[in-house]
Amino acid sequence: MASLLATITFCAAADTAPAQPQKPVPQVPWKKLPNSERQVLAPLEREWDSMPGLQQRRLIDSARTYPKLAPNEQARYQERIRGWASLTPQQRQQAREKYRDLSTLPPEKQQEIRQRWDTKRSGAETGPAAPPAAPK
Amino acid sequence: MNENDFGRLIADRLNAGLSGLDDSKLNRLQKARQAAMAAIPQPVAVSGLATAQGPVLDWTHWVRKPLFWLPILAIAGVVAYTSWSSGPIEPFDEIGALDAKLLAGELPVDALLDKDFADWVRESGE
Repeated sequence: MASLLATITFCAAADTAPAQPQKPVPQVPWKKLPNSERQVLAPLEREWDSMPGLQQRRLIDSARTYPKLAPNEQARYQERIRGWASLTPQQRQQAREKYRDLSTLPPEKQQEIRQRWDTKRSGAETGPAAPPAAPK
Repeated sequence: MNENDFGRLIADRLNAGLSGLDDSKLNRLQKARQAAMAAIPQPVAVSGLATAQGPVLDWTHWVRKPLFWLPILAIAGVVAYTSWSSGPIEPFDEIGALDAKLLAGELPVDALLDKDFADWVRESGE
C-alpha cells in the first residue's frame, strides 16, 4: 500500500520541475485562450478542457515559442504535439531530461547518436522481425 | 339656503362670539394658537427619493452605515477578480519553451524515450 501511494505521488509530481512548489495550477478553459494560441494548439482542442492545469500551462508556454520556430520546425511541432500531450507526465519528464543531456554533449557526439538512432530506426522499419522501438 | 349662505352664517356667528370674549381669553387663545403653530415641524430639504406613497427614502442615512458598503465591496471584488482572471495568461516557466524546442527538433520524441538511445547519451557523456 505504501509503495502504491509512493508511486502515485511520484507520477503526480513527475511533471513538475524540482524547484517548483507543489501547488495546484488552475485550468485554463479552451475558450479563454487567445486566438493565436488556439491555432497552435488546435490538435488538442477536444481533450484540452480535461487536461490538468499544469500540463495546459506548459503547452501554452510552448505555443508562445511557436512563432519563433522555423517553418519546418513548426510543421514538426504540429505533427508531434498531439502525441506529446498523450504521454504520461513521467514520460514527458524523461524526454526532457534526455533532451537536456543530449544538448550538453559536443555537436559531433550529438551527430553520432543521431546517426545511431537513424540506423536503428531504419533497421526496425526494414528488418523482418525487429521489435518496435518501445518507450522505456 | 345654499351652502355658501350657510357658511357665511356660521362665520358671522363665530365672529360675533369672538367679539364677546374678554381680552384675557383672547390673549390665552392667541398664545395657544402660537404654541400649536410652533409645534408643527418646518419642512426640511432632503436629498432622497420620494416614493409613490409619499415618504422620502433618505439614502444618506444608509450610506453612513458600514454594512451598506459590504455588498458593494463584495460585488466590486468579484468584478475585479473576474477581469483579472480573464486577462492574458502570464508565462509559467521555461519548461514550456523547452518542450517547444524538443517537439520542433530533428529527433522524434520516440528517440528520447528509447532505452538504447538513453544508453548512448549516457555513454557519450561519461
